[in-house]
Amino acid sequence: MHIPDGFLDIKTLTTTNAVSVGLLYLAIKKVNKFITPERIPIMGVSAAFVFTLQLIAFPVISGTSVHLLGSVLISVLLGPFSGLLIISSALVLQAILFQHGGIISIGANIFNIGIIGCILGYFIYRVYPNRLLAAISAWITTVIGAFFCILELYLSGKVDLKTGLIAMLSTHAITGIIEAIATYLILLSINKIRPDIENIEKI
Amino acid sequence: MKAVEVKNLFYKYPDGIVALDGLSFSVEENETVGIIGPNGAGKTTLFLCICGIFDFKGEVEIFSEKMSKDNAVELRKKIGFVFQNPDDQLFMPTVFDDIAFGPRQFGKPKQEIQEIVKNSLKAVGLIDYEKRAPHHLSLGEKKRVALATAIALNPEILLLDEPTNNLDPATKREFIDLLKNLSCTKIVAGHDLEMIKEISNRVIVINKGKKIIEGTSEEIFENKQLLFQNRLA
Amino acid sequence: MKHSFFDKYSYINSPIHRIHPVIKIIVFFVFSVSVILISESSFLIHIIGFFILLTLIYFSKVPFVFIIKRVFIIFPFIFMIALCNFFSRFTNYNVIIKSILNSFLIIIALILLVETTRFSELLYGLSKLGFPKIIIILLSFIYRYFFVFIDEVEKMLCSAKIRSYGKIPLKTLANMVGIFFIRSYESSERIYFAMRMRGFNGEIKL
Repeated sequence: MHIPDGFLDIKTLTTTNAVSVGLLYLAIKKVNKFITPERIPIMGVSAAFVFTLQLIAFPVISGTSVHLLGSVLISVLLGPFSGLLIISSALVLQAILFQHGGIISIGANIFNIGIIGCILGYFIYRVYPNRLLAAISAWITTVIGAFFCILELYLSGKVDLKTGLIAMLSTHAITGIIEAIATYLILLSINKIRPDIENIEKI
Repeated sequence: MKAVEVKNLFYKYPDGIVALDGLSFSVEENETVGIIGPNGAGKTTLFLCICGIFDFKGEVEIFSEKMSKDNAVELRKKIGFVFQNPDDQLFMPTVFDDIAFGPRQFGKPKQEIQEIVKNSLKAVGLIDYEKRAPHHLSLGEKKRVALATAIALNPEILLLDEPTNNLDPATKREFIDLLKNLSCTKIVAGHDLEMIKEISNRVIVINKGKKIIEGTSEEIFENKQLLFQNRLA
Repeated sequence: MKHSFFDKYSYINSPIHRIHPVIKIIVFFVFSVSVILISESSFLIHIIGFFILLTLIYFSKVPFVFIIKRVFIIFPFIFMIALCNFFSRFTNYNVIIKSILNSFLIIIALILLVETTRFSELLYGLSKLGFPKIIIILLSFIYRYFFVFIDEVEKMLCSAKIRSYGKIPLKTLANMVGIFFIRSYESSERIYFAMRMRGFNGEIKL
């Protein structure tokens, strides 16, 4: 869930922004160190891919639909740090162009979706790298991201912890299933057509 | 002097498909040569080998200098490449940034870059387009900006891959006139036979990576059976 | 997709449009953080804030309705928060209302910033303020290729809808996304060639 501006208090904003900026800084250093020339357009185009992907509506039950995050997907394809930079850029642009998610609260959103999804998600995936674990990782990180979202809102005094957790975790447990299935199927589809894409260096 | 000489060019894709199979031809300085052939004949691959971007077998000489890994970057400065799809070539947020990309990479000073962009846009008939965003342009405008990015570095050889693809008749006419005004060696690939006939001195027919025949525009385009055999009629 | 509305007003000329992007970005951040900070102790900031924004909107020549319409994007979120609070014994409406007002103010300020600054200038402003280069490049690529991609995806979805009587099954959708990724990956290879032809060797000089 993207948190808009105005709903986090100063202390939560400072903490989340500091943590996210710090981790982004490390990710940038890592990426810059290992980046090769051809990787720049790959990352650029993949960022546009993720941004567009997040706009596609995936059907859940009749009537409702869900939008993917794609954090685990992109980390599995390009690596956790590249994934984090890509997801963060996508979040920044969503905030700027659509006001979907805030700019001042971007740190919280980057943490919940980018850091949990790309970094934690990748490390879960690496336990035994295969599509199934990628899918499971997608579900886990969706739910954990939702948890931190409510935690941040609670610490800012906007929701009661218990009700918030019940609401968010239950909805995201379901959207997480779609994220998981979609991640699995998309990876399967990519592997079927161009298996050599798995050989892209993961940074 | 021969601007481009290709000797026994051979290229195989990573998946094993042979794209170029012993291709040989040459292009004189300031000539305009058309390369025609059906889809999949190897035209784009040929261009990417001439620029030294693909790792080919055989020889490519640019102004009598043999292309190799060591001098590819230097030789590439003499070649301008207009890609088939302008969206592959225009990757910056503004027209100015796209045209300036090349000069900036080569470290040219700011003032000079301003001049280069202005002149390149003038040459393609798009004055004052500097601040426009490429994704808002029409296909014809995009193709012209793509051409401008190629001529910004003042190349001696211009490679054009399907330049009039998908353009409406009026835009096509304007683009052909534009190309005729450019004075450098030109190699144009495509299957828009009218356009190739109009601007080329010589034409080379390729199919399945091999050279079928070469000759003057008249010779080739009069030979209906040849065109038919090579899926060009 | 009709995408002309994104930059709809960033090409007009107004006193606000002419202000240097770095200044506008800094003002935006100062304004937004001030709103959040000061609102913790009073409602006055909201009234002042609205007046400031109304004045800026007037001078920017961007239509008021255009901006206000886009504020509604946060309504689903507000609904969720309201729902959570409704079901719990937590009833500090003061706090919630302040948040909503904060949100409105900051969103309006952001829309003003974006509509009075061309995207390329926004990127320029960010790079001058020390934003890391790789992020600027990613933002640039997203902005440049998003429009191309969304059109392609719409075409794919359209043809899939026609072939599956309206509702596209998840498996088909995922398949299409996979193809979409591969096509974008392949176009990145061609973009790389185009970059190399213009002298790129690893570092983009902005």
